[in-house]
Amino acid sequence: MRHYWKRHQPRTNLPVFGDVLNEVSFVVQPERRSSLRVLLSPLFRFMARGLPWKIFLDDCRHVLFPKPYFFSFVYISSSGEEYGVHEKFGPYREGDFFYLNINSWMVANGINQKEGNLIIFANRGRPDRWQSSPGNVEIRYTNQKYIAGFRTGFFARPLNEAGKIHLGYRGVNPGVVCNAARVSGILLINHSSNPLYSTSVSPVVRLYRPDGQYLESEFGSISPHSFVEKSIPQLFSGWKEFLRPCGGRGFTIASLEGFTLASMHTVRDERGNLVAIEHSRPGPANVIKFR
Amino acid sequence: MTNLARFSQKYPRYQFSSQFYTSINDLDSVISFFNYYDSLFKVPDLGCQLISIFHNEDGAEVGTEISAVEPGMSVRVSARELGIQARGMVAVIAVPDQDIGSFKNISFDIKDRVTTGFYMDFYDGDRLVDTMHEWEPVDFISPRERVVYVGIKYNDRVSESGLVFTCPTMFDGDPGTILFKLKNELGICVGSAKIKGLESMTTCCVSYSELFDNFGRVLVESSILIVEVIGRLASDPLTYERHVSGDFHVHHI
Repeated sequence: MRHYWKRHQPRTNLPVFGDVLNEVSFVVQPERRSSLRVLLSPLFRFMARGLPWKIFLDDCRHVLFPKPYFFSFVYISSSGEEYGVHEKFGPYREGDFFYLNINSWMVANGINQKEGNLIIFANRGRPDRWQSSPGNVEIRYTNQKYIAGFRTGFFARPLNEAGKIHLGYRGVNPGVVCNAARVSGILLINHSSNPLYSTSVSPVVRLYRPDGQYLESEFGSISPHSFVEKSIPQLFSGWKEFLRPCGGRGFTIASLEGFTLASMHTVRDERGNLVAIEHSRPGPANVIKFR
Repeated sequence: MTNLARFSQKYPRYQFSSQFYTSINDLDSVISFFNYYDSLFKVPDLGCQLISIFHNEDGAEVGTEISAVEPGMSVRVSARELGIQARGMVAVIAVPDQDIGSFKNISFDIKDRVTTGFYMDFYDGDRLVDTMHEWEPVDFISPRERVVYVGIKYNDRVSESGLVFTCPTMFDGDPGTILFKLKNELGICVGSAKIKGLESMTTCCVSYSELFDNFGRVLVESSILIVEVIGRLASDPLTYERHVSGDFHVHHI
């Protein structure tokens, strides 16, 4: 992939599905510029975390003279084609609403690969923390029967790139449901802060019952900057008998060594329509004081 | 003393996380939680207790459930199975069976107040309808006045949309009012409304059609609208949208 984004630019990955209307939006929330705490926050982080001078100076500049937001994106189809957007959408200031109909964008650009990963990135994060998330972006999925979606922040930290060592990834979905009407799935994104990232990964998934017994399965390969979604029946051929004693309920743990992933929990109906989706959240963030 | 106050006092290191729930008629809300403490602290036998306290829209406690969760295992807490017929806010903490402050071999600093991550699954009968992670932590301070913007894009599959306000803080005092300004993409105000602010631990669901008489018409005309919400908000509101089929989607902004 080309260098669509710069390293400091916060970005996030949004799965695009072929059988729904995919709509992306972002509202610029008020920015806290006036308090002394905000004004001093770059200095505090510089002293506490030893950030490079350039980041410190950028943070100071943006606290004092914040630029409006601009957004851009690159779309990686499920078969690996790359569709970069050279246009910057903006400027957006407090209270402005950025909206993008992905399906219309695909039609306008002659893109037939309707499923893929949309990497959206902003020109900056919050004014007091340039490499942070500027807020939450929404993706809404609708079809004839269902409405689903999620909102998530952007990230500018190094992920799956040289110089950043990841012990590994562990993603838990504690609320798996598999019955005649609903089937849970796992959607894993092999993301990176480096546009040139080129490593495919192959996680392992375990399906647990409340009694602690589990089935294990290879998730399969995920290409760089792409996602793969697999349902519980696709991953575990014996799921029905295994989950029968607990009413089709269990939980999953996906794991991978040496790399980190983004993950979503999906729920689809008996015909494969997307019913619900949510991004996973790291449990340690509730416990660890990050500086 | 409420259970929320009692457990907050008993476990000062832990801060309740909150989320909206609904358990009226066939609707159910199910908390799912995975005990991650054992792997985080590298203490293999570290079980925990998940304490879930359900409040109705008026902020009254209508159910409390304490679930033991073995290390590396998950638990589900269904409002309907607890016999709750209400909607409102649930406050949740997971308290490990051992004092985490006594663990010596950890390579990180522990937050001053440990929150709890969980997911909320919304069901209609046995069919899961929507899912969302936990939202704001429960605090003890009086909410400050602030502004939140919510964007709305017309979609012909959406029959109704609105906001869910929760007030996850324990305070006494005047909740004030919440002011709404409906603006089009050019920033021109096309409607306004106000409601009473939220008292401690209460929940309020409002549809845009209830707030603005002209909402349906201006949404079709403008396609994009922005709602400016001004008030003493302890938490950002959730948005809700109802599909013409009856399906719904609730999410944080």
